[in-house]
This record gives sequence, C-alpha cells and structure tokens, in this order.
Amino acid sequence: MLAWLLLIPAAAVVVTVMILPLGFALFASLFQYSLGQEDRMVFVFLDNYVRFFTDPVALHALFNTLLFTVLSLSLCLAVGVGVAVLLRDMHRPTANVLRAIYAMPILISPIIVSLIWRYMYDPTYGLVYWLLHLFGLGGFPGLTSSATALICIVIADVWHTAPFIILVASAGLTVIPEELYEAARIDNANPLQVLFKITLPLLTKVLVVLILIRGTDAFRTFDLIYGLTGGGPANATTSLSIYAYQQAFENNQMGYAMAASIVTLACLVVLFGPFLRNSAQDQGE
Amino acid sequence: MRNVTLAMLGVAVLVGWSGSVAAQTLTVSRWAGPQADAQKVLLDQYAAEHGIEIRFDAIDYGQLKQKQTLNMSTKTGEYDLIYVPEAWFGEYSEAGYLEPLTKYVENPELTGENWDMLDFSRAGMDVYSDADGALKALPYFAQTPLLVYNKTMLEEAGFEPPQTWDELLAVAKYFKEQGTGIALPFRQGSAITNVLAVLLAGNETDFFAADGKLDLTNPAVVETVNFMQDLAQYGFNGSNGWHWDEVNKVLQFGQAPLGITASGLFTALEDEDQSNVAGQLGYAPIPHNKRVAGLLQMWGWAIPADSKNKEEAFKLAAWLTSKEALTAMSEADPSFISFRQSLGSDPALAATAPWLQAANEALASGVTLPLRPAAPELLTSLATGLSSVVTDPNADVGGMLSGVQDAEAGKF
Repeated sequence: MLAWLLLIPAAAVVVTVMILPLGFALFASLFQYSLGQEDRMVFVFLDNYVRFFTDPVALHALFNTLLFTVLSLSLCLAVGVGVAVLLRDMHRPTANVLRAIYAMPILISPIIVSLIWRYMYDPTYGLVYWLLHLFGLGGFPGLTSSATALICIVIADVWHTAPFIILVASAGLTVIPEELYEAARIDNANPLQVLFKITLPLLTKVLVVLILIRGTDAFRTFDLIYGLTGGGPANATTSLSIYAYQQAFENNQMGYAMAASIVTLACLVVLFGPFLRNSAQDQGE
Repeated sequence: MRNVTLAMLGVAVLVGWSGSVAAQTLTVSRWAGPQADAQKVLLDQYAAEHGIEIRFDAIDYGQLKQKQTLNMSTKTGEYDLIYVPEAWFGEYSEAGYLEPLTKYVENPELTGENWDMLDFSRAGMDVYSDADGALKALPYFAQTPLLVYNKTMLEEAGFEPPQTWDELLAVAKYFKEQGTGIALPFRQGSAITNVLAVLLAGNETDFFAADGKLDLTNPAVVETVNFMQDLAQYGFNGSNGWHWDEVNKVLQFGQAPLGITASGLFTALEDEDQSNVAGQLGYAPIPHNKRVAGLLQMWGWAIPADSKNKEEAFKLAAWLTSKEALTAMSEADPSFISFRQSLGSDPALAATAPWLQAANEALASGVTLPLRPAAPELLTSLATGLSSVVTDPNADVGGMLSGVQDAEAGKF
C-alpha cells in the first residue's frame, strides 16, 4: 500500500506533463479550429486524418521524413561507429584530442547549424562549392534543386549528430574485453572480421539505444530543415514537422496540424516501438 | 524633532521606493528585423522622458506570429504594443485580439497636440481598419520589393536600367552569360509570392477575378508565371534557394549586377562600412509588362485587447507615429519609409535614401497580398508551386497553376 502511495507523485507528474497533453492533442485533432478560437471548435471526427492521407503534400512530407530518417540514421551510424572504432585503436592521448574535436558540433544548436551550412552550401562563398570546383563539379545544384536538397540536409545533419554516436559508441567500446581483440590478433583476423564478429555484436545494445535516440530525433527534425530550405524547393524537403508547423502557424489550422502531429507520433511508435520493446526485454533478462 | 525628521525621511524613502516599483512597464513585441536597433534607441528615449519602463521583445520574423498569437489567444496580457504586418492583421482582428483605436485617436490628451491623423496615407489606414471601418492599428512602416542595379556594371555592358519584362530578360540573360545573372529571392517562401504579386499587378491582373473568385488560370497569370520561370533561368547561381537577405548580400558585395530585394533592407547597400558598392547602385520599380506596380508591405502598431496598459500603450504608439519620431527613425535607418505623406517628399530624408523616389513610385500603385482568411493557405500553395517551376525550366506552368486553382478555389 505504501509503495503505491509513494508512486502517486511520480504518476501524477507523468499524467500531467505527458498523458494529458497527448490526450488533448488527440482530442483536438478531431476538431477544426484556429489558435485562439478554441471556443468555436467544430467537431469533424476523423476528417483531419482522412484529409492527411488524401493530401499529396502531406504524403510527400511523410515520404521525405522516412527517407531523411533512413539516410541520416544510416550515415550517422556508419560514420559515428566507424570513427569510434578507429579512435579506439589510436594512440590514447591523440584519440582523446580528436574525440574532443569531433564532439564540437553537438554543442551547436540546430538552427545555428543550419546557418553554418547555408553558407557552406553557398555557390559563391561556400566551402562545399569550393571543394566541388576543385573536382570539376561546380554545377552541383545543392539546396536549389529538388533532386539534391534533401541529401544536402542529410549531410549537414550527419555532421551535427555523428559526434553523439562517436561519444556513445566510444563509451560502449570501452566495455568490450581487450582479450577478445588479442585473441583475434593471434588468430590473424582481419579488421573487417574483428568489426563484424566482435565489435558490432558486442555493441548491439548500445546500437539499439542509438537507433532509438537518433532515429526518433531524425524523424522529428525541424530546425535544420527550416533554416536551410524552409521545406523547399517544391516541398522536396518538407518533413512532417515542417508540414505540421506550416498548418498550425502559417495556415492557422490547428486541428489539422494536431492530426499531422498524431500521425507523426503513430509512425514513431510503429518504427521505433519494437526497438524500445527489445531493449526493455533485454533489461528484463 | 529629530525622530519626526527621521520618520518623515523614512516615509519619503518608502514612498519613493514604492513609486519606483510601481513605475509602469510596457512590453513591446516586434520583429528583430532591419530597424530594430534604431527602434530600441527611440523606445529608450521615450522611456526616459516619460518615466516608464519599456521591455523590448524583438524576435525573429519566423517566430513572431507564433509568439504573438500564443500570448494573445491565451490572454496572458504579456504584450502592450505589438508590431503587426498587414498579412496577419485580418486574422488578429477577426479573432478579437486587437483593441479598436477609434476612441484613442480622437483624444488629443493621448495623441499629443500635433499628431495629425490626416497626414497618414489612406492606403495604410484602410488596410488597418476592420470590415466595419474601425481602425485597429496605426500604420508605421512601408516597404516594397524593388529592382536594384549596379549602375557601373550596366553602363559598362551598354544597358539602360530595365523597365519592362523584355528589357529585364535581356539584361539578366547577358549577365548570366558573363557568369553572374540577376539575384532573385526565389526560395520557397513568402518572398517569391511577394514578387509574383508585384508582377501580376504590373501585368494588370490579380490572383482573383472581378467577382472575387480565385482566378489563377487566366492567361495573364499564366503569362506572368512563365515570365518568372524564364527569369529564373538567368538567376544568379543559387538564387532559387534565396530569401531577401541573401539577394542583398550579393548586391552589397558587388557580385550581382542587379537583383530584386526589399526596400527595408536597403540601408546596408549604401553603408560604406557594409557595402562594396555604396553610391554605385540605382533603384527602380520592378520591371512591368503593362504598368508600374509595387507591393504594399506594411507594419503597424496595434494594442492587444488583453493589454493591461492600453492608454499608456496608445500614447507610446502615437508618439512612435508622430512626425518627430518617424523622422528620427528615417534618419537613423534610411530604409525606413513611413506612412506619413508629409515625410515622403522630405528632401533631407531623400538625400540619405536614394531609393525613395522609386519606392514612392512603386508604393503609389502598390497592391497588397491577398488578405482574406484563406490567403495564407493560397500563398503557401503558390510558394510551393512557384518553387517547382523556377527550379525546373521544363515544368508545366499552366499545370502547376491549375493544380493550385483546383486545390484552393473552394476556399474563396
């Protein structure tokens, strides 16, 4: 009984700050209304959801979000884990200095990252174009083409978030017993065999957590896209978060924006719920 | 006697202290845009002269509407005076967020004696009045997109400043072939629809037909968007991803021979500390097909209905819109163009603002963006559609406009 009573404050906080707002969002998504006109809400039941799944712009935003998440997450993990593994095998003081340098981008807020990369992608001054010109690729359309804008944003996102993967993966690598690597060396295992037979299998739990954190972050990305392209050109980089923001604060359709947000949440649960469940089961075991 | 003196001194200190605690605080919300610094100086001056405290909440344009709306819709009473563009006015007014100003503007105790309401341009007063004619904001600052050109570069290339679409295409094509081109604010967003609105007016057409229905498929609109698509092909490299500020940057660094940008940003172009081409630039209305046109983009001061200091807030708004304060703003930041007609022809101001004549010409035949309730959705759809045709020279303009027409017509 006492245990239950002691749980009440924490449960009350969870209900107040998590369940109630979520419930309100779900409730509001069944209405049509503008911000500040909550007294004139019109009940439309599931119309907002029907509209979402029949609106080509919304579906395009969903596709962009999935593509961005897959690309960003894959690249982040590849770069982050790769660098962490390389640093593990380096001379320790050098590795520490490099790790600190690599970690710097995570200290920068996403909107500042977007400003930095807007200049990086500037065809006149940008470092990216300077490098591309060296290789005769100055005609790369970058942020101005619907074919390449999303990949440009993915690169900026990887630059910003891969350091987080490096730091966490580096921490994960420290708990892998050194004896395993010694045994691999004695057995003349090549670096790829060591990576795929020892390092990655023993990093699985860390990777699951990283996929959960970074995957959900990537799916909800807003600032970086907003600052770099505002969702353009031609909606090529409009994500679900940008779309919901536009509906809420540019088009003043709060109910529909809530529905778009609930769809975002549902996608997150479907995509990342299994990872959360597996991770919890592992803890239980 | 000594005790009485000490007691009186104590009371005086307490009264003084309580007086200072009770000093009125006004909170002003505005865009942290080009004139924010000059505005802050004026507000500090007013606060010092009137013994009040002014909190100046200047934030990024992208967040401003969200913050103002959240505060007014939840009736926090946080803001006493807000800076409102014409595009948001209808929405704010309809939601009941704004205090009608009629009774305040008729009260000389609040306006001050020399505050002349008839000096404001009619266009500004009309835009900031609701459907019943009640004034709900004082028009303050006007800007319009203009063509900016580098006189030296054009002269060397043998061109006169372009006035028509054909002339503009010829100049832009020449410079594109030389490796630069025209700087255009053609990022998916508000700037590209602003340019469209000016070009439509310059082609003697509109988003809407005479009966008020959406009319994006009429031949003149299609012709206008086709012109934008053609012009984009001669755009400065990267232009299709630019907003006004990036266009300004390449103009002030002397990289672009010409560009279309907003008059509110022109101060930097003529500031020798910031611009490589100060004194070399010319300004003109955006070239037209049939007549000169401009865009009435305006900002005004409104009092939120939930303000707890309405009269003090109005006094401040009246002071900000007085001739003296407006002159001070224009002197501090020459790109500031006010709605007071008497200042439009002030030679002292014109001397520091070489664009003033072009701006006045464009504003005199200025149109506004659509202000009806569903306008934001229309402009969002158009921005997306325009972005798709300017980034792809082979995109079907008619098809894009038909798509937007089909999607949005039912809302008007």
